[in-house]
Amino acid sequence: MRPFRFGSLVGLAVFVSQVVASPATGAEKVVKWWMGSWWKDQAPKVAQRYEKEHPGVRIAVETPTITGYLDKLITATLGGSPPDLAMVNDFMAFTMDERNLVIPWDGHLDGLNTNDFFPVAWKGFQRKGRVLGLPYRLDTESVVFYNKAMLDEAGLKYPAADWTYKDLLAYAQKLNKPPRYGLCIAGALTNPINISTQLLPAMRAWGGDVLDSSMTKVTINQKPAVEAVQWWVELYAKHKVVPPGTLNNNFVDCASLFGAEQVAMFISGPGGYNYLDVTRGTKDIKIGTVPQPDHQARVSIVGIIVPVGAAQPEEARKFGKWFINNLGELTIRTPATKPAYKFPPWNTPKMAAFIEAVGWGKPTPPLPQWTEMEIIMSKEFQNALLQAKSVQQAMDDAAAAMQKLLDTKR
Amino acid sequence: MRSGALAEDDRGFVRLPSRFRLSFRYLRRRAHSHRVGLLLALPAIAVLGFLIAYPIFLTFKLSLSSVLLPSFRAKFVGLNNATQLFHDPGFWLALKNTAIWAMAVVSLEFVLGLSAALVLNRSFRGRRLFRLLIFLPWTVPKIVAANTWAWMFHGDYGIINATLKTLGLSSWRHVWLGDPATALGAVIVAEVWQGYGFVMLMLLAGLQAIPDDLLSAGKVDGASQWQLFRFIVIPCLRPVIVLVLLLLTIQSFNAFIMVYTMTGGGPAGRTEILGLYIYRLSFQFFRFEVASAAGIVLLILAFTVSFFYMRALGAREGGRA
Repeated sequence: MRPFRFGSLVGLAVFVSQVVASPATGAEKVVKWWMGSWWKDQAPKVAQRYEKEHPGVRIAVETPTITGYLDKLITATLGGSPPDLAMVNDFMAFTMDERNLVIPWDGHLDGLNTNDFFPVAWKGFQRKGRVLGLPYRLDTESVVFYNKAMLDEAGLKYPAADWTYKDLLAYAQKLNKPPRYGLCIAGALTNPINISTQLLPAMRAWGGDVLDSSMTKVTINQKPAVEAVQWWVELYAKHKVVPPGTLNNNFVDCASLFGAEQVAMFISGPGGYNYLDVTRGTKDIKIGTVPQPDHQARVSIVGIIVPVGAAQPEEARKFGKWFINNLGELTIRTPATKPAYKFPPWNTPKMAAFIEAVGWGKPTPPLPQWTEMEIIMSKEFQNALLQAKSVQQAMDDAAAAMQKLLDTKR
Repeated sequence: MRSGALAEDDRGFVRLPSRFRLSFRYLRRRAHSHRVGLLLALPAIAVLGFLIAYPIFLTFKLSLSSVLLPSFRAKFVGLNNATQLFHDPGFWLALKNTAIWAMAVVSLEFVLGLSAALVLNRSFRGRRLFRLLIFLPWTVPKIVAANTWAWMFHGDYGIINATLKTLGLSSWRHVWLGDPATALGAVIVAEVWQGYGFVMLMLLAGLQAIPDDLLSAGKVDGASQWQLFRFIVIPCLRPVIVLVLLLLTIQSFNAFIMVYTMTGGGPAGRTEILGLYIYRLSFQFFRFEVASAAGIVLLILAFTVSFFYMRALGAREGGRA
């Protein structure tokens, strides 16, 4: 009897394990999804909801810190084990695409109404006519935050969207009472994108730009662009309406100074509110927002891409499209689709200035060299701030280095 | 003849017992036993060799190629990547900054570490606590240390400027990380703060291994404290010192987190060191081939320095033997 009993038990165990295990492991598809670390609370909730609606699919969420995010993504992709879906900025996508590391979405857009996207976001994530990723986040960092109480105290009316750079300077001068400064600008190389974000709209307001319309010639050293940079440099070197530590400051530092009421205005994107939630502590600061002057803004786009070598590209695309179609409820950053703005907090008044600025915003040029060009521009802006070079000389040097990059065959 | 006594041969030479004779059979047996050892060690040697040699080989290959990703199909382009590198003024600035950085970091960490080790090698109350306190910064993640120091040095809201103001030294307040004259120095301070605890620990272990008899004998001979240090402590510590200096130098060549976080290489490239320069080339600009060429330059630098360190150690040990 004993051998029979033992054999039965083994048989039963094998049978039960097969029955229990098969639906969970055999049929389950695992989609690896990478988002930035600020998604660590929200991304699992998104995954959970998708899994509930789509049995048999598991979304394995990873939220690496942004420091080193791109390194990890590239290493994983080149190593042959990339995520199936990953968040990347527009400029990262262009550089990755140049090195053949992105699978475009063309031909896989069924079930998605591309008209839902803001046109600037939809077009801004394309390169050479190919859709590199689905934009889910559309930010403009070209909004001026101001302290209403300080403006009231100085007898200044709250600025409207039709204000000019001349007005901005006048406001900064009237609000400037050192050690409290009128305006905080970015001058640090710790985040070069902050520098270019404030310079680009001004260059356009002056009638210039970094590149010509064909994006083959650098125009940053031409008169209008140089005058715009000169305006920014003089805030620091001549008018002294920005803090002395400007060469240390990026947008986060500026938010800290604003939260500590050491500056009256600073420039940022919607993320400015997130920084201020931390930096102002218990201070009750009445905050106003207005787009950067002269109806010029820069927008940045974040999208979800399918890297080359993804193990589950089909499932990843299905999940990506579902995410976009439910963006208003799921995202924690300013959405790139219009229908998402029916949902809170995107439909609240505090978002108005950002949505207005997005209307005239221009995206990052779809050039793989852009990140490098941005660093060159920022370094030369620092040289001008330090007065190690004249603005013209700094922009001439920037133009020469940037043109060389454009002309070098990659 | 007494059992065990050595016999003489017919020419009067001492005849060794057979077990000491280098017979062909003995040599073969010995080689065989080595072969077994070698065979047993082979998997470990192969893995180690692969882990060390393959990445170097790949970096070298990349530095001479134009690569199609993601397949890594390489086309030989000779020294094109090196030419691009050497024509970039940013590379030479980074190289110069790296030299200053390495010399300052290595010498400061070593001097402070040695001083701390000498003090903490004596017995006094609270010695353990001080050892822990000095070693503690080394255990802090570099990114956290870098952010903390960036806040401390911040020109507008940093605690260093605030303290100077409180002490009535407002004129000394400075934009430490924004001034080309002070930025690299400020980052070096942060790096040294974090690193010298490790040096202290290594040297302290070396100091504790010096036999008391040697020092006592020196004292009996009338040696002064300086002479004890110069002629007993330093020679005994020499292998540890060489090892520490070697590690510090290699670490300082590879460093980038502190600079990346505190200044991003600014102001205007004045703190950009090779580690950061290579990081940017690879992971921000995706110019892996030129980054590999820069990596080879760094490797040659590290190898040259290591060679001289090892030679210094070898010469000393050879001399003593």
